[in-house]
Amino acid sequence: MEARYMICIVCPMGCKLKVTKTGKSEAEYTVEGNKCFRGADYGVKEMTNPTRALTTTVIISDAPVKRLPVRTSGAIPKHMIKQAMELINKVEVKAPVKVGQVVIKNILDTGVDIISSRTMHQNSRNEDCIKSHLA
Amino acid sequence: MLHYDIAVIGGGPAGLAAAIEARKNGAKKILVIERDRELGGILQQCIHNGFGLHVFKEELTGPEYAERFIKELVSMGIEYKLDTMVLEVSEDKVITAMNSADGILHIQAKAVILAMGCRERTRGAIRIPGTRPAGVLTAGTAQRFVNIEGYMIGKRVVILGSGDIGLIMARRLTLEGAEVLAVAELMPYSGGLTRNIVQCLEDFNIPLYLNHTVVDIEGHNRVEAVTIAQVDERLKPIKGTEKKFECDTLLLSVGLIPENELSKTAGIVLDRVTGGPVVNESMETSVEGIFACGNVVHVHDLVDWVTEESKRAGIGAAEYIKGKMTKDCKTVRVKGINGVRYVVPHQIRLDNNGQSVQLMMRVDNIYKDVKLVVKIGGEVIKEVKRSHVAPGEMESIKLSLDKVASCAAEEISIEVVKEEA
Repeated sequence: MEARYMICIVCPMGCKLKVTKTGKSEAEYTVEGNKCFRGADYGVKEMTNPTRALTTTVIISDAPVKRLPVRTSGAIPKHMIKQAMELINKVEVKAPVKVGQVVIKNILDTGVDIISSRTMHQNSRNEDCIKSHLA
Repeated sequence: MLHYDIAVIGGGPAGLAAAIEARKNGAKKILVIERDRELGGILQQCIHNGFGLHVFKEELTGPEYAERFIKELVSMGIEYKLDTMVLEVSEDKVITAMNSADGILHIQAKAVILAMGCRERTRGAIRIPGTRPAGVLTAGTAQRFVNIEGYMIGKRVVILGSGDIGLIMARRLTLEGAEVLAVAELMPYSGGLTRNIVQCLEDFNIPLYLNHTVVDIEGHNRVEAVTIAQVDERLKPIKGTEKKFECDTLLLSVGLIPENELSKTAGIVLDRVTGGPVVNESMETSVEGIFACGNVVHVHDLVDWVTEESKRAGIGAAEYIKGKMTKDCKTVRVKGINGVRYVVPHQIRLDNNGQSVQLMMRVDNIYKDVKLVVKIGGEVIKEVKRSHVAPGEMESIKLSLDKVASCAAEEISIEVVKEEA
């Protein structure tokens, strides 16, 4: 049987997986070496449709810093990462921004949004910063 | 002179968790002192995900992880000062600090929590030969430039060191359009988490050269080329194995050192192996009432462990100011031997600790199929099996203390023992 060895990247544990194709159809694999159920999912997905979460930044104005960190709301297919980066790099946002706020909706029709991964208050107003955290 | 129950130096993950936990345990007047323009520390520039799996059971980015703690701190009404630099901490817990609004500040605290984190080793620390052009940066500095300040730091990059920050930056720079030509690692194994080798290097076909180091940097104004070479078992470069990369940037991810300048001014005893203070079960240093937590004590690989450790420091400080800490009770030393480089905490005072203690440690090499064996007075009190241990991955053992209390010996040892097949 065809087997592939890989390291699970779902969490920092880094389980060493052995994924073996057991049947003819796509989803028939057995995964060994995983310490949790997510490792089993990861092993099968790596063989069929590998996906990754993407984290990067977008330009922000009116904020105390120049870049706003953003991330995908879920994993996107690995081969689409480059295209996604090109789209994200064209975006500019303006403070204030809340954590979780959608920056790009449904990127590349994946059903996944690009969301802000921090709250950014308007330029160096500390009181606003405190208020935004209490809101 | 300002008066506080607890002063926390550093508003990163360690300081935030310690301050919050101290408040939850009854400490009233708490001040967090931070030198940056905002709270959160290095988490704010760690925009990648993987934080919080243990503490929150979900995968967060650095800024998201920080924001949860900042929110909690602010809603508790804990005071903090930003853009404020601490210059000195004295043995009697007087802190001298300064900022542009208050000028020089003197703060008398009943307890102090040190949470200054760590610093990166630089080119000077590892003595790389060659010219001294622009374009040689530490990985963390590059991370700040790219992720917060919005500057791209180069187009063709070589990275020395395969610690986590180096690996994360290899991916980050690739995503932003740079070409990462090589990651060179002096040791025969990577210092970073295995998952980062996979998702930061293998995903982007970035070659990792183990047993290699930088032997030359060329360029006058800007880096023009970097030469790496293979090293022998004594880590000396081998002639004839040189590889030259035309590039404009060299990133260094060659280790972190706990930042203990302030600890030294307070006369705190430091551990030569970790570079941080010697601490007891409550994360108290050798100076009574001064506690320490997070990367200032020993460099962690997961922020989740920093949070856990810092909570203990927060509880310790709160109990201390209530006068609930027992000094005169049975104390055992904890020592790493035979493959265990260090163990934190260094001492356990049995009366202050409830039922169990979390021991954190690092091994000195990669071992497969081993047991971590905890002994007191020659008697084995705990064994934990590990199929794989590595210097880059901190090990943690929860030790219940009933057997320690009933034994007359005063030293606990932890070692790596090969499992018999």
